[in-house]
Amino acid sequence: MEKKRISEIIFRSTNLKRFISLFVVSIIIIVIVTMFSTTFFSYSREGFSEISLLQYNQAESLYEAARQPYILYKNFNSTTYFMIKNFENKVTYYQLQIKITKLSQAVNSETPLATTECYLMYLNHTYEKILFPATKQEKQEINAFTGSYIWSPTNVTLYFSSQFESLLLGENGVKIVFEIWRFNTQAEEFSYSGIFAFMELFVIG
Amino acid sequence: MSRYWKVRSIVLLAMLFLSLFLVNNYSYAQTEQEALTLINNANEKLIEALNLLEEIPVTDSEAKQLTSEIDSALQLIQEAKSKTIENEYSVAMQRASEAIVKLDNVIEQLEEVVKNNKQKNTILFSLLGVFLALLTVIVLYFYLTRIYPWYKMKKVENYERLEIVYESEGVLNNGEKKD
Repeated sequence: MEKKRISEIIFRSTNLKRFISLFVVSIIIIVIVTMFSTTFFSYSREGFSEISLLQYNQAESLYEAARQPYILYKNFNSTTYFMIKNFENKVTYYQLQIKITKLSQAVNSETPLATTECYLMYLNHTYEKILFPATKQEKQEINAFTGSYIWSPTNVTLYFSSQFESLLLGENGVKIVFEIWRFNTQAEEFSYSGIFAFMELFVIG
Repeated sequence: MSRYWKVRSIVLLAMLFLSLFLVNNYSYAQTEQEALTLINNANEKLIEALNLLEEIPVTDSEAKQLTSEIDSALQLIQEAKSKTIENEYSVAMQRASEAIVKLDNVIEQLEEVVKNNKQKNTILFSLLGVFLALLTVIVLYFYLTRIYPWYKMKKVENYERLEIVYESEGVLNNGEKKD
């Protein structure tokens, strides 16, 4: 009896009705604001790119980030593989620049190696590819070597020609730098991404 | 044969070889120029396709397939560039032309996707507009039928609670006498 009276009081209370209507209206407003913000203002989710230097293990038929060459013979070519993954959250047009420089040369993510500090290993051939971004599920994958977001392991022939001799003055080795450049559609040119990998090799022969 | 005729035939032969060499060189340079022009055209189309691709969200079902098609066109352009360096101009021109055809196709598809996306957005925003207008009407209705009468009622209630105190001569409201 008492309960019924209390519920009746609550139900008939005009203040409560007003409170409920205001609550519903504010919920609707919040939903609309959220919808607008997600539709009109697309948040730029900064991503990243990944480069790996690999070797092919013929015995186990797999690529591994191990057993990299550490000697470069003047008369013999050496091989390595690179792999790039797109975690940029957008379609990215990549260019890989392979440079050979002095062993003591510092490499940084702010500026690429200047032409005065190095030689381009492949002047007449550039490695370029357009990659689709990795999905949420693909980002969780480990040991993946193929997919629309992966520049599958690609072999690069490393060599030491006579024109690189000047790099050896006072040193017995070289640094081979793999720089990732990304295409900027606004500027219509490639710009340095700040992502790189390098190998240090002793030169013999 | 007299010496005159010998000299004359040698000069004629030399002229013939020279003209052949020049014609050959000219056509060689022309072919190289044609190959470079085609590669340049293909590059321009590639940039156009990339710009259009940026306009569609990566979640779009066709985005992945179109990206892979643009990439295969890029590989053809790369091959055309290599062949130009190797002086294989006819192969270079063929690859560049293939890339152009491929990119034209992709651009057409991308334009269609962008157009469809714009239409979808127009419908979505129109619905949002209608929804907002409806919400405004509801809020106004609530305000006019519930909130404003309640406020008015409260105001009247407050006025009802007011007590009129008349100030008698020589006596202040608190009962003290005036000086």
